[in-house]
Amino acid sequence: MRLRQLDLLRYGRFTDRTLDFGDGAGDSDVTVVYGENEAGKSTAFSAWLDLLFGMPHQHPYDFVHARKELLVGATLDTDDGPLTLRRTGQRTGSLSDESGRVVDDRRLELMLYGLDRDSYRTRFSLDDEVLRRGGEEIARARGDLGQLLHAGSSGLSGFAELLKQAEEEVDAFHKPRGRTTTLAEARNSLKALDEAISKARLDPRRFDELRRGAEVAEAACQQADAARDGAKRDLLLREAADRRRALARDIAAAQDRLAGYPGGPDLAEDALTEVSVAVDALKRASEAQAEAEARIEQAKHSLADLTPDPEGLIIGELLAELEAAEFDNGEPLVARASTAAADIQRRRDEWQAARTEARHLAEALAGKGADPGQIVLPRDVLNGIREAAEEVRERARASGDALRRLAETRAELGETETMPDGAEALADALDAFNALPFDPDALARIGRDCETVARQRAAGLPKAWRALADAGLPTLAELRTVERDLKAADDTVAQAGNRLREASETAAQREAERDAETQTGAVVTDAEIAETRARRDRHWAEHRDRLDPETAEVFEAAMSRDDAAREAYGRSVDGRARVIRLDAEIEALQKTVVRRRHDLVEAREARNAPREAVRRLAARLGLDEDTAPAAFFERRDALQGALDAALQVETAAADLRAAEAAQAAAVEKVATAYSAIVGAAAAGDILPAARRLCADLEARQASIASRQEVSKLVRRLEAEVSVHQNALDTAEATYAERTAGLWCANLTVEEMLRKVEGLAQLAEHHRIADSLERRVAQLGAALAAFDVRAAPLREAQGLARDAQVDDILRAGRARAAAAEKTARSIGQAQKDLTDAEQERGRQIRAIRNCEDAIAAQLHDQDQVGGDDPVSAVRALAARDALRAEIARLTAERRTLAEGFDAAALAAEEQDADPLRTEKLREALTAAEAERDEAIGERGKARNALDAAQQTAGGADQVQARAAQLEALREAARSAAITKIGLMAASGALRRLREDRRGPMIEATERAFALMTSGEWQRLEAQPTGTGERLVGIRDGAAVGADAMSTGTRGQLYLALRVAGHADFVTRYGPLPFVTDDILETFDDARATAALALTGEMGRSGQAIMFTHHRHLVNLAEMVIPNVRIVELG
Amino acid sequence: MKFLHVADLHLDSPLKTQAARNPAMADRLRGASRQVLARLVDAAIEERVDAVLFAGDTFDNGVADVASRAALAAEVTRLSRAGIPAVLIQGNHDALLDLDRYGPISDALAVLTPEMPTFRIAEASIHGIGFTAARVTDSLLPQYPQPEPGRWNIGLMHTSLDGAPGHDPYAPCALSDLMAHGYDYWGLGHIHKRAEYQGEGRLAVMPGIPQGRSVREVDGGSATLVELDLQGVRARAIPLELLRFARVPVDFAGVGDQAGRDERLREALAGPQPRDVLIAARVEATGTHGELGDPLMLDAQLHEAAERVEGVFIESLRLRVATRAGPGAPPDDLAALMRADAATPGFRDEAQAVLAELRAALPPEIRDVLDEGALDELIEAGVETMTLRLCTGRAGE
Repeated sequence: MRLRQLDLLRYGRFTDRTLDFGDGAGDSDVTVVYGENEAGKSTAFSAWLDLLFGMPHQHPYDFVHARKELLVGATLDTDDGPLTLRRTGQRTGSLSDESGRVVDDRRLELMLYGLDRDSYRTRFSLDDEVLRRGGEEIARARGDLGQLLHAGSSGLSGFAELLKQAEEEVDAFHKPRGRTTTLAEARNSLKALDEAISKARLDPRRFDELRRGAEVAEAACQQADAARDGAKRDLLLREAADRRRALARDIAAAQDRLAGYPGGPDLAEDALTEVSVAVDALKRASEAQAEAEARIEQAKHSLADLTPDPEGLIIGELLAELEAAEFDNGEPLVARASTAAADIQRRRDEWQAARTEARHLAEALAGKGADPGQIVLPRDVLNGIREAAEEVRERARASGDALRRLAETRAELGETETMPDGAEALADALDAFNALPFDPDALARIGRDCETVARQRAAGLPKAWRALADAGLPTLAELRTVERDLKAADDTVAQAGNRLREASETAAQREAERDAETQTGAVVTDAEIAETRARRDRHWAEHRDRLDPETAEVFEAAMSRDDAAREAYGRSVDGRARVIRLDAEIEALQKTVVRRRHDLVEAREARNAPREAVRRLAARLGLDEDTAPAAFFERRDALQGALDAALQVETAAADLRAAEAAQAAAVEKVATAYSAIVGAAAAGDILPAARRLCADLEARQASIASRQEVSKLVRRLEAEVSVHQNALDTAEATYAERTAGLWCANLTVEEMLRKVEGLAQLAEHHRIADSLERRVAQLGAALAAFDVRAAPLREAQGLARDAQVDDILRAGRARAAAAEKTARSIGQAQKDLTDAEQERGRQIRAIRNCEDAIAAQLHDQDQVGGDDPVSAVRALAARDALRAEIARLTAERRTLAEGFDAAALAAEEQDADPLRTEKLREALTAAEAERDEAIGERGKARNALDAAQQTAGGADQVQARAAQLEALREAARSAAITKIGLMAASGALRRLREDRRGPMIEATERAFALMTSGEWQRLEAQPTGTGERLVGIRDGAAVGADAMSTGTRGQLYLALRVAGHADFVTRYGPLPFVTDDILETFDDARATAALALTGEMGRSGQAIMFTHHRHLVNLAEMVIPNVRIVELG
Repeated sequence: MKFLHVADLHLDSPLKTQAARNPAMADRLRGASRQVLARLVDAAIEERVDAVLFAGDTFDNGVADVASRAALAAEVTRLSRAGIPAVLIQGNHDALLDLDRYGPISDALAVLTPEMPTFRIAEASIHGIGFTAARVTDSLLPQYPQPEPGRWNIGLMHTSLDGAPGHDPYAPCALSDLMAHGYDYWGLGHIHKRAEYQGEGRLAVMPGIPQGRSVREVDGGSATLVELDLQGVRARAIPLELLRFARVPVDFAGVGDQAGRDERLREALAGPQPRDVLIAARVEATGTHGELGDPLMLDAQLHEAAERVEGVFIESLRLRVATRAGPGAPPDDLAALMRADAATPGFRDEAQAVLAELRAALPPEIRDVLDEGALDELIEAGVETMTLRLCTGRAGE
């Protein structure tokens, strides 16, 4: 594929701009597009990419034309001839041909050999940035270089990273002297676990050692116990002796003090308490006796001053009786009488006022002289009458409303109408006509359009295309399979040919080397010395037989040759070995040549089948039998398109005929229906008249339906009127029933409703008057009852008969209170006198008892000085205490001797050395310390033994160790198989690279040498572990790409791209190669060389070079024959 | 009468499994053989057996740790409190063990020796001769007492019988000779795979190891309950194991994506498994290159799938590449070159050297994993695994 013309129709700042790249005729297909900066070179390149791959959603060149308006076109030279395409910004169907027909993007994909946008940019376009970056990548990345070297061909790119990753995995597991590898860390961990296990497990020897330690500690402990016990006993004996000695001294001193106290028996234990209590009681009794006698005198004087009032006490009793009296209802009479006397007149006045108001209301309701008692109605009766009256009023109103609505609805009924027969048939016929699915006119237009399309699609196809299409077109899968099979077969043949050529060349080279070795005579073979020896022996035999000079010379010459041959044989050991090796190699190579020749024959034979398949498919598609499979797709699409269009024409014609017949039948049905209604056939176009008639009938039908609806409403309203009337009758009967027999029986409902409020007020006033009347009667009764019950009290006080209630009560209460007070004072004085006399007797007896008790405690005691009995008893008590102390000391001294040897104790008592006790105490302390230490040691030994016996035994650590080993085992296996796999893959990849790399390296080498004017003559790819590096050879020295200057690396990268382009073109076919000002940093010599390379590229494909340097344009014109210059202004 | 027969307890011998590196698993597997011993005693008490019979290799070596001995003592004491005696012979592993090294284990434990070969309980006589040397190459059967008439005669013997793969030949003895000796029941030990041998009215049982210790021991997991009565001799396995090693095959035929692989893995791991038993699974995956996918990814998927299945742990993953055609086939030329290279003597020599270097760096206990005998298997695995990686790596570009 090449680009003949690029049309910037609406793109960026371009409108209808065309770049013409010519027809590519001539030796080299190179176009230089010259334009100043911002002239649109990048825009043009972007448009080219958009045409090939579609427009991105966010478009950088929609600043003049909106994205959806963008349009770019191109004319491409393809194997099948020129192809004009248009690309729009639409999301689907954006690619079309010059006729506007949508073109499947897969057509372009096939022409691009499956390259996507990025791949195409990477391989077929270069700018300064890419050139610079590519140079850096060569210096930096082995994998990238590999990808470049093998781009699109080897299929091995990306493996380097995988192998590197695998190698890192192996190294991560184990690397000699590695400290952080999995294995190293695991070994450290295992070592730690081993130590932990060693600590955790109880070794039998250690068990014995621990047990012996425990036994020794136990014995030491027992010995320390014994020593401690001895020291303790010595100290206890000494301390007992010391104590006994001190006690003896204390006893003697106490007995001396006892001699100064009076004699007599020991006092009772509580003697001092008893005497003290008796002395205190004696004192209190004497004081109480004097107080009682003073109270006796005071009581006697009080009695002499008081006079009693017996009448006042009687008045008090009468008053109490009156206050206890009750009224009829159980309330206190005195309270009721007091209230009645104050309230009775006011209540009488209120009663009269209520009676007057009730009378006035009764007259207002029933006329002059009406008795309120006759007029008033009970509350429930009045409520019942009011409810009945209100019901009558409501029912009457509802009945009236229903009658009014009935009358209004009857007035809406209009005149009766009828529908003619056949109306429905006419409507159905018109509906059927309207429902016809296709319009014959539209179908006719469609048919004509289809015919146009069909003609267009059949243009350019062979005349018999329809027969080919009817016979069945091959599927795309068939086409792809055949294309792929043929390509694979071609590739196989090419590869087989290359391999045969390589083997033949190698064999020839080895033969030449072998010939060179043997033809110089430097190498003497076994056969040659065998021959010289045989000749020498033969001539010797002849000479021996003849012994003449002639045979002697011959023999001498033969002997010399033999000697020389033997000498040369001895010297040519290495050469002979080389010849032998070369012979073996040649033999093997010849076998290889035969095998590869056979392979080539087989490959060629194997290619016959796909070729035959191609020929068959070409025939099915109406193409020449030698047509390339790539052209099959377009032809198949064209045939399929033409067939589809033809089928659409036929379908459209059939549709039109069916639609016209259906329309005629529908019109006939309409006419028949119309005539049935109007009685005669309509003249001319029946459809308008029929549609009008149908509309009239539909209106009449609506009117009839409306009248039927009103009639239904009238019947429903009549029923409602009847219901309301019945309800009114029922309400009126209820009202009459509730007023029957009452003074208001003749009142109408409305009259009654107007009096209802007055009747309610009358009932309330009548109730109040009755209540007040009952209250006045109760007050009068209370006053009368008081007058009867208060008569004795009134008379005892000498009051008049009409004395007021409060006066009677107040006077009685004062007299009774004074009499009672005097009586209480006399009683109290008499009681005080009696109490004081009794107290005086009790105190006299107590004094006698105290004196007796004191005397009893001092009985039989020697005389004690002084009259104070308490002091005397205290002196005797001190004597008794001293006696007890002497007894206690004596007993203690005796107790101290218990448990000790009497003689030893006596001896110890005799030894009064004051330092001996302290010495013994220190000895005990030391013994106890030793014992504590022994116990501690014993505890440690026991604990150690117990802990050892109770240990978990390291089972957990052993388990952890085993688990770690298992993990390590699995990791080791994994590392081993990864390493082995890595070895196998590395070797295989190396071999594959060797097989495939040669042409690329050579092409790159040539381009690089040309561009550098021969400075760099050779390139080599040197393996580096799992990767490789590219080195250039300059002056016999290898220089890595990373050591080259930036500019040289850029040239190397360009050389790689040129070689890659050539490789791609050879393998697949030409595609336009585009560069954008990549030579501006090159000097003229190198730019000239690069342009020459561009010219080379133009010989195998199309090269397009954008530049804004005029001198590069000039150089191109000089270097590249027939270069095409396009000015982009 | 009822007896519970166990052998090859290998008390406190560790489980050779990566499962124990998982903290949760390690917690559950702590002291696994002691837990199994406790389960054995539980079963004896529950079944009300007349005695528990230990047929050798109760301990893993001749210098048992005091703690291991204490564990046995504690459980025998528990049996004793339930009125159940224990009878023990020593096997090749614990032949040199001085059981009384730290004092008598228990009065309820009877150790049968050449000097005291018979223990009698009720109507049964239990005969046994324990190993007194680590290596016994002659049959011990001639030393066994003759059956005692009128009593149930039970023999305990630690023997490799006629020989068994993976087991050294110790105290070899023909099964027919055993059956002809006249005992009613032979309680055997030494071979870790359970087996029953039926004779005429007689029975011999190799109970297998009650707790497998590695993926090579997948056929044990139980003790044997023996019943002798008028109906004859019967035996049945009583499961004891905590952890079962299992080989889990997973066929990926027809699977082409990760979701499909995940489904197959989950189905395989969720297969029938006994209750209360953990599983340490060696997963053996079979499929074409495309079906297996990236081995590293498959391994990650496998572990993720196992985390979703309670009680299942992945011990290891083994790949078996099928040769049938399928999607994602590797680059033929590359794979063929790798196989061809791998078959050359030079490659084998180089691989041998690599293995030797790696093997030398490994702890001695696990050097067998890279033995020379494993060379072919490792080369095949290396080539296939790398082919898988290259295939899927390239597909992922």
